[in-house]
This record gives sequence, C-alpha cells and structure tokens, in this order.
Amino acid sequence: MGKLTNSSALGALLSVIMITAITIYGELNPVFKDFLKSFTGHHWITKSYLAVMIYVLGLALAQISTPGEISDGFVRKSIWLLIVISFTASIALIAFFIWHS
Amino acid sequence: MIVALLQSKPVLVGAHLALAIIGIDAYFWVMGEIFAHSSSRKRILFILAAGIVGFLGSWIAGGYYYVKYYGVIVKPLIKAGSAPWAHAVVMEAKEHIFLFVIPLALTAFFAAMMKSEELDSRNLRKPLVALAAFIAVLGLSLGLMGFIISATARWMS
Repeated sequence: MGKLTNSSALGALLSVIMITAITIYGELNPVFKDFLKSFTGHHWITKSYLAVMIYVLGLALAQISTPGEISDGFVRKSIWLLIVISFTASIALIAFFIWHS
Repeated sequence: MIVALLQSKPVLVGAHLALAIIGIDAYFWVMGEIFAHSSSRKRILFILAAGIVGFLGSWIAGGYYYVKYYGVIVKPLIKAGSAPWAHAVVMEAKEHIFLFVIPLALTAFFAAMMKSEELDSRNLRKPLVALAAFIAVLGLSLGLMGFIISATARWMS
C-alpha cells in the first residue's frame, strides 16, 4: 500500500500543480480559456475532467515507473509535499484572483 | 418528475452543501480514528468511502448548478452589485480549489488501507492525520466561501 499511496500522492500533486497553472494561464490568455471551453462547452467542466485525468495518469505512471516497494521516508515526504503544495496552490489561486480582479 | 426535482436550484444547492458536509465530517472523523490508533480498518475505510462519495456528489450537484444556473442568474447579480469581488475572487478561487479535493481524498483512502501497525512501523500516522485534517479544513474553507457567495447574492437581490 505504501507504493500505491506514494503514486496517488504524486498523481494528486501533478493534478494540483497542473490545474493551478492551467487556471492562471487561462485567465491571462483568453484564447487558451476558449480552447478549454471548446471541448465541453465550459472551461470549468474541461478542467474538472483534466483534474481527474491528470491524477489517474500521474498515479499510473508512478506505479509503472517504480519497480518494487518504495521507502517509507519517500512515502512520508510525498504526503507532506502534497499537503504543502495543495495549501500553497490554494493561496496562490486566491492571491491571483485578488490581483486579477 | 424526479429528474426535474433533482435539477431544481434549491435541491442542487442543498445537495451540494449536504454532500460536502458528509465529506468534511468523514475526514474529521477519520482524522480522530487514526490519531486514536483505532484498529478498525473496515470502519475507517467505510467512513472514507462515504466521504469520497460525499465529495463526488457535491462536485456533481454543485458543478451542475454552477454551469446551468450560477453563470446566468447569480453571477450577473453579484458583478453588478457593490461586492463584485464575491464572484471575481471568492467564486473563482472556490471553483478551482474544489478540483483538488478528490485526488487528495483518494490519497488519504489509499494510505488508510494500511493496517494500524503498518502506519506506526512506517511512521506514516502523523502525515495521514495531517492529510485528513487538511482535507477537512479545505472543505470547511470552501464552505465558508460558498456562504460568502450565497450571502452576497441574497444581499444583492
């Protein structure tokens, strides 16, 4: 389960970073936001699908690319990193929208 | 008839809130279970599964409301009022931060699949408690944002 937890944390990390980056870039570049909208009719629905797809892809890639069990220290670091990055990304989004409004 | 009822505005907002509360409570509960060295892995996983279903349902109900009604009815009202930041900052941040919840919740679920002894021997109890607490607090923060948006809309109308 350590390996699966680690892969899930890395997939979640990738999803959080990508959604934050895509969101900020989309707000700064309306053409990109329209591009996102063109897939589902709404940019947020496309981002919702992307959040899940990036997470699943990241998890699968981490599972495949890691042979055998993962060290406990690495799993611990992945979880802590996920918490810190998710918190930072949330603050970054709030700060960005304050600046952008 | 049932579909029409489920698609109505008050039901969608109510479901969004109620299901999110189930998710938040589940993660607070599990935080306590893991902190207290509970040995009932079955119970922990059941609570976490209920929490994930709650967050997923909240995502679907809130998302449907946001796409179908919010942009057309609520957003113009808030933007035209004296607190347009309630949409430009609070709603914009909320709708995107919400997307972090399910990957985080699933990670906590996978970590909780380990036996209590395994969590100790691997020194993973503390990070798992912190992750469950973070998910619950993040959910509460999103709830507070939702309250600000709803209060602004009511105040403006």
